[in-house]
Amino acid sequence: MQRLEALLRIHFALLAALGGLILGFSDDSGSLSVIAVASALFAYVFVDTLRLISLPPVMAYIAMGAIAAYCISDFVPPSPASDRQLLAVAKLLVLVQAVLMLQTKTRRTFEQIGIFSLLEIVVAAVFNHTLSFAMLLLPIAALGVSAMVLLQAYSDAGPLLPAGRAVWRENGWWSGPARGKRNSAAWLEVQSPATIHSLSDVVSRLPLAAVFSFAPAALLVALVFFYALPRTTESDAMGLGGMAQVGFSDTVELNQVGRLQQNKSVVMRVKLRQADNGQAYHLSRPLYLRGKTLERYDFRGDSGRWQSSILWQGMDNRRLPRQFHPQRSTDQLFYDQVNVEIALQPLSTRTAFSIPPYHRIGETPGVRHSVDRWLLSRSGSALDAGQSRVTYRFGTHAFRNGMQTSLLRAFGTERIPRTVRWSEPSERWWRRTEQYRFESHRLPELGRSAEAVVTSMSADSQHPYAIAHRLNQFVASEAGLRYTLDLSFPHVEGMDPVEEFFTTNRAGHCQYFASALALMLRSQGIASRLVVGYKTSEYSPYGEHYVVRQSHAHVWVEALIEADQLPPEQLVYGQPDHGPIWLRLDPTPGINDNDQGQVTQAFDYAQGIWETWLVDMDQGQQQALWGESAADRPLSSMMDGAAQGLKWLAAGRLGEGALAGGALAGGNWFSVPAAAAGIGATVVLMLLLRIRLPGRWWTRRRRRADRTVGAEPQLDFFAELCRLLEPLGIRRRTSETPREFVEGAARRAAELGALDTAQPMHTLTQRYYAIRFGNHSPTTAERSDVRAALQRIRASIDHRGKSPERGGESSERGGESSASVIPSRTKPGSETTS
Amino acid sequence: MHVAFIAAFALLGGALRGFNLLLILAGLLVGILILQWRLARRIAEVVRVQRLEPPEAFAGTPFAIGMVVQNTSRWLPAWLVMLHDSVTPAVASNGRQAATATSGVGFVPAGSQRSCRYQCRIARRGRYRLGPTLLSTGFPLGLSTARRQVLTEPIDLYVYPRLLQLEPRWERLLESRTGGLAVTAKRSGISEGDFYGLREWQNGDSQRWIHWRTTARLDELAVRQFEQQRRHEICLVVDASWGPEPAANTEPAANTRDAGDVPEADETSQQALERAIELAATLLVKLTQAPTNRVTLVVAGRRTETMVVTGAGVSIQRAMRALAEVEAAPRGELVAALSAGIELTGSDRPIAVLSPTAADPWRLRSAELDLHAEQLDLRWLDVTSPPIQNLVRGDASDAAT
Repeated sequence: MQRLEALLRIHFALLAALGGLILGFSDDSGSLSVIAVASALFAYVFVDTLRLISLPPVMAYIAMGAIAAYCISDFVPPSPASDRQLLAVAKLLVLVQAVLMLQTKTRRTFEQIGIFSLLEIVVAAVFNHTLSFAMLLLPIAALGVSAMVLLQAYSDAGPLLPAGRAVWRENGWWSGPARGKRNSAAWLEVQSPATIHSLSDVVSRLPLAAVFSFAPAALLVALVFFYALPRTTESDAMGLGGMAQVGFSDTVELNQVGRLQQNKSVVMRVKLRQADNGQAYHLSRPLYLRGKTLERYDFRGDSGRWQSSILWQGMDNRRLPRQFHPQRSTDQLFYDQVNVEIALQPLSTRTAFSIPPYHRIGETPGVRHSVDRWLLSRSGSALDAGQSRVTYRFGTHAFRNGMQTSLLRAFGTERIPRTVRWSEPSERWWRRTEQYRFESHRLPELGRSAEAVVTSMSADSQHPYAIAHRLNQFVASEAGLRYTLDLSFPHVEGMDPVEEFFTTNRAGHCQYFASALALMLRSQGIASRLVVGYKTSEYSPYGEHYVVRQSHAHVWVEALIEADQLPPEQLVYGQPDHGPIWLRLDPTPGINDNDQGQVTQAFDYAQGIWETWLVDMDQGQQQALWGESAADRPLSSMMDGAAQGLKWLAAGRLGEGALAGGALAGGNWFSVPAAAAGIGATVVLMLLLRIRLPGRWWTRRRRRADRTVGAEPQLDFFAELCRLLEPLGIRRRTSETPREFVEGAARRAAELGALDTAQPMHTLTQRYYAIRFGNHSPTTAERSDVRAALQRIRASIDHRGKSPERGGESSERGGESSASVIPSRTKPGSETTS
Repeated sequence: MHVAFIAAFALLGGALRGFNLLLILAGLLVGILILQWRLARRIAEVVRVQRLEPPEAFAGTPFAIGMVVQNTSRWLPAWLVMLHDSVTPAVASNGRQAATATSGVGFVPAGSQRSCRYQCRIARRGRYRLGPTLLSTGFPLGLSTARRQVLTEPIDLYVYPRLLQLEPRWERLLESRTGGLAVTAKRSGISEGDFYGLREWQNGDSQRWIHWRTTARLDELAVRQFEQQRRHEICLVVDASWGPEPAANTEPAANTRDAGDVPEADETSQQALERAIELAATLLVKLTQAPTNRVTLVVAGRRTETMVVTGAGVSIQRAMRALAEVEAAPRGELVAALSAGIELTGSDRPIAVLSPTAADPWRLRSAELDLHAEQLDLRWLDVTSPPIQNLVRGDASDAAT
């Protein structure tokens, strides 16, 4: 029982610590984790193990009251539920649990600690929606199950233990009452040391038995419950403690993007699939994701601010354009048809990201299209955007042979409202004044450099397309500019920051490089704008998607090239063949974008699954899961794939890749359906064949090799002896004589701590031989000897390993052994059936 | 119940606010509750319990009650099976309500059985009822407990009077005719008795007793010596009564056995009565150990019981049960009891009356008894008198505990 109590203490100390850790969901609550862990450790060492201090119950109640009063202050003045109030609840739980830990542990205290740990998990489920919640929940669940089953054993055995220090008598009876009041009355005393031993012996096996027999079934019930429960509201993807990430607004200042690039948080996951067969589409160059276009530069101030120009009426909030189909079918050979799926995290703005030229595939309720900009934005308000994730799909003709095209027609297949066309008198109505604006007095050196570069070009190559590329090359590699995120340069008052970057600092990040190029292009009469988005090449093999982080934020330039200014050799495929073209230019020098390690990628993949299948589950997703169309049913498609694979297996097409990747696999790396089918088949096989764990199998096999145990002896007292020894694992084999059995049994019993069994076993053996083979009828005295011998063996087994304190009275037994005075009239051990 | 409330709270909170993690947590808790209920209930259903026959029990001495727990399931092991046995006095009285004795086993593999037992110590003699027995298990998590009543038919448990430790000289009292027990020793004429040893031949020894081998070796006649058995025949009368002495010149009540007439005994009287019964039980056990002894027992309590007690187990058990259940009667005449004893044992056999009080001639006055007065060998043993108190060393359980 001491071992059981020690196990309980360490279990509940760990539970208290982990319960506090799971609450560490934000900066404000991080201190709670520290308090919980520290108090658990302190209590385990000084209260439970060393027993140096212990909080009396009265003091504990006073402390709890004080804590409640302290925490309730956060609810005053009354206001709608907020983070602060829930944080106060978390604080209350952790502090009260710390007080409980400082008390001497009883069954009631253990129960209370367990309940508080459960409440901490409930609060954490409201606050913490990240994968760390699941990672902590698993060990907490296993630990909790183990702790509760041990507590149940302790609850059963506790009332049977002696209260205080017991004085054991030779006949196995201890003086003093038991702990449990139920087992004693004025006229009756009951003790059961055999029960205490029996419960203590199984302590080491209880947790594993409970976890393995319980956990899988509980998990299955939970999953069925979760996925079958009808949803009535949208899911709260962020939880109360979550914060939306910074998005792109219509105004971007210099340095803003640089700050984003220091954050490794995942912003979105981008899946590229071939439209015809659904296979993953791999890129050989980085992927550009378009977020915002910035046309206006603020020349007046020195902030380097870029802003979006106002859209014409009717150009915003449109459905995605239809897919472009070329007149010549052979044109399709010059571009790849790729479907894109983007899972976007909550952002502080409605900005969504795209890979133009995109077109709609099916319905895309989550995003809307802006004409002329090739921009996407989320439906709904900015508040909604900041509280939920969104997944949207579109098709694109932007790729060819793994490379993203740099030419983009200004307009797709959508119809331009006539009011827009008529608002501009010029036939080139798409030209916007702000895209050409350049103030040379603010950027003199920039303008001079651009002019010098263009002048150095040959006359026949001085057309906008070539000029744009030449200036891009100049800024990227010839101007002597250096890439850095460290912008601690002193600022020259009154100087434009882009001019300062180009002339003085000579170093900056992508926003500076792009700004310089865009302004240099304008100085040469070429319309240009900045595009803010993401540029990534981080590919996750687990989910077969591209991971986009805040650190991948990027700025590049688009230069407007009229259709008639495009060189004849530059052909634009997959897009309408009329209208101006935006040429993508990226002047930022190449930087080492080190991909994250495999562990991080695996974690990100797990995070994605966690968000998709758990956190974001709502009515729409449920319908998609259990929907009609197989294409909308991820589960069904997996099962269909599994069925198809099994058909191929039956047809003997193992070597044709039928089971590897493809049909069954969610990727080339791991096949979820195959793994699930394998696990399920193994479980069914185990149930049918009752295959045991190797240890137990070996024990059973060894027992069978010994030809099992001998049959029950004919004499009842010897049979009773065999029954007494069975819990110790001592069994008589058929090949053993009684004497041989008893000699071995006495030796084994002594090894197990049951001393004082040799002599009484010898007595029993002698009587056995005399009666069984000597045709001797036992006398009354002999019968009493037999009973006394059994009593001694029983007492010795019950108290094995325990060193009884001898009482002050004589240990010799009285002249009458009161349990053996009357000759037996029936066999000992005879049974009254229920 | 706490867990159920938390599950309900999580379910409501998750459903109303869209917190999916609360819903999964609620699902886990609901799953745990359901499985706990089913698993515990199934264990309670597959376990069978059999009670081993209760042993002899004596007041104040611990004894063990054993049970066998059998798991009838082919694949499901049974864990933390607890048995709650009800122990109830057969005769209800103030301060002695039903009590519960708990025992259990930690683990019973599928298809096998384990035994468990608990030890009892009952302070007072009497008849008790064991059962019904309640089986319970809270495996695995203790969130709910499955209970089932097994062993629904109670069985009787007799707790015999405490046995006393007597001084060795008690046997001399059996042969003494003064101030103590009087026992007629009678040689057994035919059987020589148990072999005891060898001695030299004496006049009067039978030739059949000569041990020829030893005689040849010693070159002297050597004979086998036998332990001569003595046969005691005695009538023990247990006077189980208390109350005030009847008034002078009034006949002792013959049949005053109404419960309403029994005065409430004080503690001293009660102790004396119990001592008388204990002494009777002790003497009975000692005397019946020799198979040739014959004891007639008359229990004069609320009911008069008469029986002949020999060395057979059944006979002794019947006598001990009678002593266990004897109820005190108001103080009255003992003539009827004595007559019953005389009738069985014969008027020439000694009669010993074990009483909690001193001898009262009024209780023995009777024309019937007067006829046998000259032949009657009646000894009145007042357990409160010094000679008897000096015979008693203590309780037999004292040395053991």
